[in-house]
Amino acid sequence: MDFNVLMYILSGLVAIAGGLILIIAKHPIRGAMGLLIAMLALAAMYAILQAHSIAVFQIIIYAGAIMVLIIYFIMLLDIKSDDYRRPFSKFFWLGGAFILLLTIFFVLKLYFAIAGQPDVFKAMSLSANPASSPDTFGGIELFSKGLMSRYLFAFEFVSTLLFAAIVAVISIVQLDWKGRKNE
Amino acid sequence: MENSLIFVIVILPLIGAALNGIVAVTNGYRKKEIWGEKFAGMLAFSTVAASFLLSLYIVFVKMSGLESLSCTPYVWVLVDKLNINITFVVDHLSAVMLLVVTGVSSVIHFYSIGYIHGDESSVRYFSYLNLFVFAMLLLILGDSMPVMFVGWEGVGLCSYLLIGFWYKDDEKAAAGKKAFIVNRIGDFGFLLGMFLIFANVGSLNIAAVNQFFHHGNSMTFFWTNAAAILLFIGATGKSAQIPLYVWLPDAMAGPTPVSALIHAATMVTAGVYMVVRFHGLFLAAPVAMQVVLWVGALTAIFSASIAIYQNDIKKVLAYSTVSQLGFMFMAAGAGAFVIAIFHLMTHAFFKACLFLGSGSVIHAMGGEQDIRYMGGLKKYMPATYITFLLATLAIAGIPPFAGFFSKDEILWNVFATDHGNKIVWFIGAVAALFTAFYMFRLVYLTFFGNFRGSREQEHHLHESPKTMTVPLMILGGLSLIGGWIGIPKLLSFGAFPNFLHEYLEPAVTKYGEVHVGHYSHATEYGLMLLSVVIAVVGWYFAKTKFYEIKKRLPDPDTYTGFTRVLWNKYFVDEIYMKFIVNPLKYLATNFFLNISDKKIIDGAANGSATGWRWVSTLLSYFQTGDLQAYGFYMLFGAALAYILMMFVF
Amino acid sequence: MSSPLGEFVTGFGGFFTLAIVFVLFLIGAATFILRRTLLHMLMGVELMLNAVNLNLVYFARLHLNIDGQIMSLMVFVVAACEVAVGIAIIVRLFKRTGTIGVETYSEERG
Repeated sequence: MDFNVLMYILSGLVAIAGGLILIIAKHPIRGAMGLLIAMLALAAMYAILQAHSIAVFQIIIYAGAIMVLIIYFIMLLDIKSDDYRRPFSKFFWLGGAFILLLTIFFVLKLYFAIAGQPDVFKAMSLSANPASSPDTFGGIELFSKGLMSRYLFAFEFVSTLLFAAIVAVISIVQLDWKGRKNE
Repeated sequence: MENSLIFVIVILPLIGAALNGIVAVTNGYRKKEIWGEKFAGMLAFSTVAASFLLSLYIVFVKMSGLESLSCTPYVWVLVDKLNINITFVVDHLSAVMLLVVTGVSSVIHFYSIGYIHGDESSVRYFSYLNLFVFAMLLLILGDSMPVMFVGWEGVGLCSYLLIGFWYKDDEKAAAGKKAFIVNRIGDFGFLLGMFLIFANVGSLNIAAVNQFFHHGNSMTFFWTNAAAILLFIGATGKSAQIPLYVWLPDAMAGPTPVSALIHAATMVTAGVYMVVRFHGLFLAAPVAMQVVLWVGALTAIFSASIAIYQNDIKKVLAYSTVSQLGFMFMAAGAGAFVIAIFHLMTHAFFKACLFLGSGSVIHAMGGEQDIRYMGGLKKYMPATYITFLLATLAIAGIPPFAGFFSKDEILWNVFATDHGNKIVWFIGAVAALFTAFYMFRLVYLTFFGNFRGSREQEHHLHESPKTMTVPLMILGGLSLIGGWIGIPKLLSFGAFPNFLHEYLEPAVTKYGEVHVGHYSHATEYGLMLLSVVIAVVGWYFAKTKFYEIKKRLPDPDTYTGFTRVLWNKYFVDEIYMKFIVNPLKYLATNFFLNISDKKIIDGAANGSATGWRWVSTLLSYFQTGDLQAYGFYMLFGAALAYILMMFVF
Repeated sequence: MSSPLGEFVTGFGGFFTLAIVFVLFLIGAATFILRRTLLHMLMGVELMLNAVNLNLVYFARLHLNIDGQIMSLMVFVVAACEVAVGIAIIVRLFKRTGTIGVETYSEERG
């Protein structure tokens, strides 16, 4: 088996393992580490899928910025609190069973759908854009050209969204500029 | 050809109506009036008069040598095949109607200024009157059936509003309601005809419809006739023909200028105009033509016979109007569309004059309408008397007054064309005899003999003000000379052309002509002479019986036999009440109110309220306030939707 | 340079990737539903967004169309906004009540 394919499959399994750690671990730091593992594994998968820029963003934004934010927040918490001794809500059995059922159902469904017509992904790839070949796909140049031309409006739009989020966060937290006590 | 001035003609009365309407409403709230009746009257009159002048300009200057002018200010409906524009078309047919309507309207608006003087809601009155002119112009100029129908309903609405103008009087409000409801029955027929035509023709444009039926259409004989008869039912409602004429005599409850404008000169002739407008359809439907002919003839004789024994001056004129409309339908049914429009025009002049004259009389009598209490008014109000006499001579058919030419030609055409027949001609001749009789009876009882009213009334008698007599003179003059534009060739010996005929002929023979049978000139002259003799005989009878009578007429309660039937208008109202209105009322109370409405509809409404209260109580158990429960519902719903999409759809 | 995955992408890789996406997404959903703290719920949402991103990137590669990758960048931005605002809200709630247990915040009962 090709090295890349092996790495891809391994990364997928690691991502699932990270997700399982997130849901099972009692301690919130361990859960956050599980999420971090899943994200890093996903970044590896992106890279193998020739989405290099997305892989880099995944590491910088998700694994870097967002995880740091979450871990800082965990540091604020009272870890000995009752909240972490009983990790699961009262829905555990009902919700868990439902999710498990759903997982099994979807995976089986997917399996049978593809077993019926094994070449479905090949057919999709053949109907793809003939101008670009798999060898030259991806890379920051193609990505940037698309982002800065066809998706320029969307790009500007999400930047406005980010700005709105900043304003929202400031107004929520209500920084006490003049020494006014929160609450 | 396009000409946007046509739009201005139509919109001017609407502007007047809107301004006066707003002021009529706000005057009610404010201590100080924005403007009073004088300004309102002048505003209403000037908008309509401006419309009239513009119409003259359009018809005689802009349209000379052209077949038609049109103007499309607005695209109304544009769906798939259906394309309805608000298009106004002035062709030779609508041009005649346009001039008659705006002309007579201006005169009557002017008269109204004097007549309505002193009424507390005169601003409202002028608003309604202007709105009526606007709707009537829509009806006349609209080039498609929906636009025509809007005008059709609009004039019906204004008629209702104006009949019930003095709504504080229950009887008058009821008369308005009666007019509206009876008209609605006819409008229903019009609508059904419109649907039928649209389903088969695929267009509602009047020219397209006529064209369709002219070129050997694909509709069967039955459905063609059905469409034409349904449209004609609409016409019987609007133009007060059997069986839907009952509203018109009651409509006399409205102010007299309204009776003159709406219920004599313009609105009630809309049915005739509509039949002429759709002559392509009607010529393709021979059965419908026969129905039109016979209904017209029967209405003419029926209401003329009722008019003989009426004592209310306006009721006589109302039945006379119904009868004259019957004459117009006779002409249309015989295929003589030009003559139908000719009579419509002359009738507009002399009947408006008669109504305005009666208004003048009623004004002088202080509201008294019973001719048994009048008499000898000749010396008190000479202007009214002269004009009233002119119009009477015209309606009776004495040459050379307007009515003679049109009525004589109606009878001649009914006698001669392929669609007409001799029996109908005979009926028409008898109706003409009755007409002369009851009109001269009215004149003798009102203006001759000695005064039979109270002393107080006699003291009060006076000639009406100038605003009222000037319109009377105009219309009286038109009653005299109005017919001269349509003098048949035979009578003028070719000295000058038959103007109206030449003007209208191309517009109403576009979709087929009616063959006129061959008769010698002697026959035609003979019939003409006969019409004169009929008129003179009617006059003579009236003179022997009613000239210079001194005594008051007997009380109607003492009538016996057939006279009693006539006095009671053949008991038609009572029959309708017994066989149509009361069963409907019974059905309405016992089925629709008590069972359908109270049990089924209220039950459904209350039941659904109870049911939803129950359901919402149940659903509120799911609103636990637990965030994760909501997340669970959301996931569950998404999965359900996915599964449904996979396996069901 | 040739494509790193070769034939795998158009064959078994499709099934594998979609399976991973499903499982990760449902693990995220399970975290959202089953864990008792607001923090874990937030992290569950993050995991769900990541799963969707993988989907986008995989199909971008399959169709050789860059639009999928661009869209996943948009998802990043939305996720960043969501985390920032979400954490701010949780901080406020934590300061008010001293706990981030979700049962505390079940006042909106019908």
